[in-house]
Amino acid sequence: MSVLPKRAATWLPALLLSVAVLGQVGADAADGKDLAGDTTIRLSTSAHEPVTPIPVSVVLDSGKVALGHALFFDRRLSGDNTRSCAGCHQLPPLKASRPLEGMSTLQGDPPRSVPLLYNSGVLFWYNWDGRYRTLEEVISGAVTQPDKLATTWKALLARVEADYATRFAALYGQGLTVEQVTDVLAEFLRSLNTPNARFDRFLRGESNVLSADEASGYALFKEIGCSSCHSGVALGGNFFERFYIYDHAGEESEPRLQDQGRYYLTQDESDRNVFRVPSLRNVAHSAPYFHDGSAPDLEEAVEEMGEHQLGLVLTEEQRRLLVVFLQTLSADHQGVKP
Amino acid sequence: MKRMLMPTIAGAATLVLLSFLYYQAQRVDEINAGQASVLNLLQKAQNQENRIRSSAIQVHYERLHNFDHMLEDKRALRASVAAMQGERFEIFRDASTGVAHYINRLRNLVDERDELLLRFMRSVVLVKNAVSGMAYGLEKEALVDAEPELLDLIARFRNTLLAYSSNPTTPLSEQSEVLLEELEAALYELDDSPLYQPLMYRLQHGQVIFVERARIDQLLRQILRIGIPEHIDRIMSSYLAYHEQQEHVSSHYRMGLYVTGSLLLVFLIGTLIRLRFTARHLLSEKEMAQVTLRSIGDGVITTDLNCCITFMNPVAEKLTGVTMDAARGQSLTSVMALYSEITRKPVEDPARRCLESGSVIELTQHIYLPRDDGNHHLALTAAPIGGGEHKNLGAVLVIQDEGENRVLAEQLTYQSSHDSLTGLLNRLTFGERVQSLLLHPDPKNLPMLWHIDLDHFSVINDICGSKGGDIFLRQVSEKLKGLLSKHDLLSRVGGDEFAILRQCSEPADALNMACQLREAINEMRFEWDGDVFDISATIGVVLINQDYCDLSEVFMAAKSAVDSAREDGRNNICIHNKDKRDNSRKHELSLWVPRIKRALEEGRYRLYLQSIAPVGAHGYARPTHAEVLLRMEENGKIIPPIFIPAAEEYNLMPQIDRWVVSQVCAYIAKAQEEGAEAKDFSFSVNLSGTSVSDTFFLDFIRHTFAEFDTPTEQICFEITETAAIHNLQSAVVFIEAVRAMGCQFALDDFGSGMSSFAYLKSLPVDYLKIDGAFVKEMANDPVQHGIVEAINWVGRTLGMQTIAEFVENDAIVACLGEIGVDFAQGYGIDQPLAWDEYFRLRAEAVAATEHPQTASGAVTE
Repeated sequence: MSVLPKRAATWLPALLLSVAVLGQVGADAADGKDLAGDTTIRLSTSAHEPVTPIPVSVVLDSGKVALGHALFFDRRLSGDNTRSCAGCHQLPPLKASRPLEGMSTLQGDPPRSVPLLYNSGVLFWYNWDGRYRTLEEVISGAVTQPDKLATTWKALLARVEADYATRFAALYGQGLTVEQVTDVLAEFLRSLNTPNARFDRFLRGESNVLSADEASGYALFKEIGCSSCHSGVALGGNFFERFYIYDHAGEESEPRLQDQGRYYLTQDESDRNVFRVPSLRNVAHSAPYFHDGSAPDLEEAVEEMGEHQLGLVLTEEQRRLLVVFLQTLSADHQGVKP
Repeated sequence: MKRMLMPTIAGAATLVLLSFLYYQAQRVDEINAGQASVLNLLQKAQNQENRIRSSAIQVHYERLHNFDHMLEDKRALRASVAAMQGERFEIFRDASTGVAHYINRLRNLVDERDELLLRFMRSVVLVKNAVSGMAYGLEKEALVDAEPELLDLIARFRNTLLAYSSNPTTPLSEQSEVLLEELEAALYELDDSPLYQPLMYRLQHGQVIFVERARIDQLLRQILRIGIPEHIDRIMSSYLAYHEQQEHVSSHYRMGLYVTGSLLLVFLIGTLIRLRFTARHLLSEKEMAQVTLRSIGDGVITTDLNCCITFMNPVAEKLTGVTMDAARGQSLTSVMALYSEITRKPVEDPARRCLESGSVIELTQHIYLPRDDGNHHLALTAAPIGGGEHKNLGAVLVIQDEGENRVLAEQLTYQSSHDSLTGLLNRLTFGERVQSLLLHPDPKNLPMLWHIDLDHFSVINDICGSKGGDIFLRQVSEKLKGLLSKHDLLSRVGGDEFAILRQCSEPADALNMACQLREAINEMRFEWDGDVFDISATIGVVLINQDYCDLSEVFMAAKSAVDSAREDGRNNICIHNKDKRDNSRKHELSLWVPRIKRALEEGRYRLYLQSIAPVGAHGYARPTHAEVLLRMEENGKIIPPIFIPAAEEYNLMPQIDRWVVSQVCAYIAKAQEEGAEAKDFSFSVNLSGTSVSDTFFLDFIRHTFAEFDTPTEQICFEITETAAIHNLQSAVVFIEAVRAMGCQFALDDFGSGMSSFAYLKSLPVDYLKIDGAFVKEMANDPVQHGIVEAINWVGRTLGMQTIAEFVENDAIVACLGEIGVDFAQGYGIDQPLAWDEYFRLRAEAVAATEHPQTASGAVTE
């Protein structure tokens, strides 16, 4: 009996409210503001730089990070209970002044260098062939791929449910799902940024942080066109480029060109030998270089890049300056232990 | 049922409609609520797309580029499209198929554009790096030794391709192509030259510029041509159109909702009012029903389906002794345990029985409810409540306390069929039984009726009062009951009359039973207040056969048999013989009754005297004794005592006797006053049997004697032998009492009836009057003579004087003299004369004796 007036009482405000919201939206649109509430502020200092510093703060859910942390080191994530994510992706402590050695190993078929996962949250493409666009996709792919965790989501959830159900329930209000496991692992990876490289400080305005050589190296980096590809916040990881643009006689049979890269994915002729431009963040820690680990040190990598990607023969001084500059991209990190 | 169905269906339909409308309106609400975010999202996507486009163009023209912004926008746009496909915008997608379709298309376009962007970025970077490489890469030292022509070629190549890279016009393109070929050709000649490698790079830079620069514009055109903004616009306009339509529809729904809601409201209010009205009505109905149930005299109990009590009215409460509040919810049997009168065991719960059988159960007989104050007989009706097409709701029990009703009814039945005093069947019921025998005669059976009349009951009633009489009658009935066989019926058919009916009897029973009855009654002695009464009865027997048409005839026959028996003296038995004569005699007698009564009232009785003369060896002497005889004077005529049987029959004799006694006493007193001869004379006065057994009569005599100062020696009472024997005990008592007063006593008509010498012993009489029948013929008949002689002898032996009656001539006198009979009486001596006349003649005779010439020769001294 009282349904009608009551409903009318709720409709009317709702109607008025929606009208008001629409009016507001119209006004906002007229002001030219970002309708999505996208609060990214583009720093004017880096507006003319090809590189953007890593954001100093990231909004994270500590509960999810903790859960992701636990899962990252859980061997039961793999089909045979032997390998955790950390089994391949070590998260060693980083010290800018002391580059790690031999961190990158080759995995998979074709064998490709396993990247360090620091700063993976700022990338736009993942894997050497750009198979994934988001961290969630990466994680999802890693679970099922036979050369990675080699299991199924159903089996994985069944293995870990007993231990994690209550913690997930506390976070999400319900038991384990694929989305939740992916979410916490992605959140954990997003927590692995290393924002305080000297170069970032430079970009943020500390102009005297870089030495003269380093500054010269950066200038050279921009001048000869390295920054054309290694741009953005990760100095790479944002688009694709062909390996060996500029080749010379006798190098068609080069073994490293056997890996057709993105072609495997797209079956497009123009994608032969095309790879994702790798990020140069902490590049000093990730020798040996290239997708196949064929360049043992930075100097050689720089030389080959100049030769094959830019069509330039770099002088020894140029190479030194570039290496010096690249070392400013290293940051400290205490590492992550299980 | 049908009346219920329609509102239910209507209500349900309204509710369904209402919920449908409500659901639709709710949906519209949701769509409205989602509208803002949908529009927001679409606007955002549009902005993102715009930024991507401007970023792409910007990247193209900037020397130092940073893809991050574009990539972020790209990612955001993908997220926006994903959001459009996500759960949150389901309603929005469902709004119209066009929207979902456009979103899918949009997603494909975004993917397509992303690929184009990737290629675009690649080409832009390639061109940029090639341009900078071409500008930067060739060492001057390497060109020192070069041919001027080559240098010129290199310069032209460089300038042309750089110009081409910034402005890819067709002429420049053609020039570039030519120069590329020229440079390539030149390189063949520089195979081993140190210029080879730098120039090879230069050539390759040029090739990259040439190839990629053309692609850049093409890709940019493609990118800008991809209709993402148009699609977003289309989605938006499609959505807005849909939304407008929804708004329109929603107004209808909402209107419908209001209208239906109002209708429902009206319906509900109406229903409530009706319900309230009905409730009030039902309440008053219930009140009425309760009051009615409270008011009715029967106990009413209702139970539910489990036979647990739900209601009791006050009568039922009183009956069971349990209040309704206490009984509610209890099982019926625990509150009211009923028992069968026959088995004395509890009966099955009638409520359960009626519920199980679904029919009405009636327990009207042989049911009782044991209670502290005795067993209450109940009549109970149990009926299921509901039934028929409805399901049973319970049972109702209606209980009548038969206790009072039945006792009353039984009492009435009993009283109407039984005599209240003795508890025997009354005349009416007894008569009905007899009547039924008459109506359904059975030749095999011989029904027989004994009619018992108690003798002298009125005497007991007078002496002992009605209370004593009642007790006496009860004793008699008890006595009689003891004699009956199982199938005999005993009834009190009148005040002192009993009757016994035996349906199946032997002919010999008639007398045997009668004798048994009489003996039993005779054995009885009724004591009251110190007085002891001997009891006798007169019994008439009737054999009920086809001769009797109806009940009254049977009773009349019985009565007449009793009368006949009584005629023969009381304590007698008569078996009725159906005879017209008897009836006519009775009728004849009955004619006398009014005459006798009137004569008494008018004093028209006359006393006559007949001498009783002493008999000697030589004739009779002068009499000093006479018998008082009674005559009636009617219309101047003197009527001989033919009315006596009638007076006896109709119980008038005691009155007549009293009149006679008092008259005699009065005459004697008168004679003494006058000094007349009568004073030395004695008179024999006849008394009827009735008077003798009437104890008041004795008092009357005493009283009369005292009143007239009567010389009792002058009075001699006479009773007939039959009367004496009928009432032997009372006769003896009477005789002794009278003799104690000084009177004499004579036994009249001795030898006429069932005379037995044995009786004589117990009768203390002075005179024995020999029946005239013997005397009349004794002169001629030696047997009669012998009898007279024998009687005379017995009388003498017993110390009695004898008187012979009917002495009609001198021969008899002579015979009597011989035998030695003391006195003689009869026409041979004198005829009866009126009292005064008798003494006048006697006076004359005395005078004649004194003067011998006048004396009669027959009279000798």
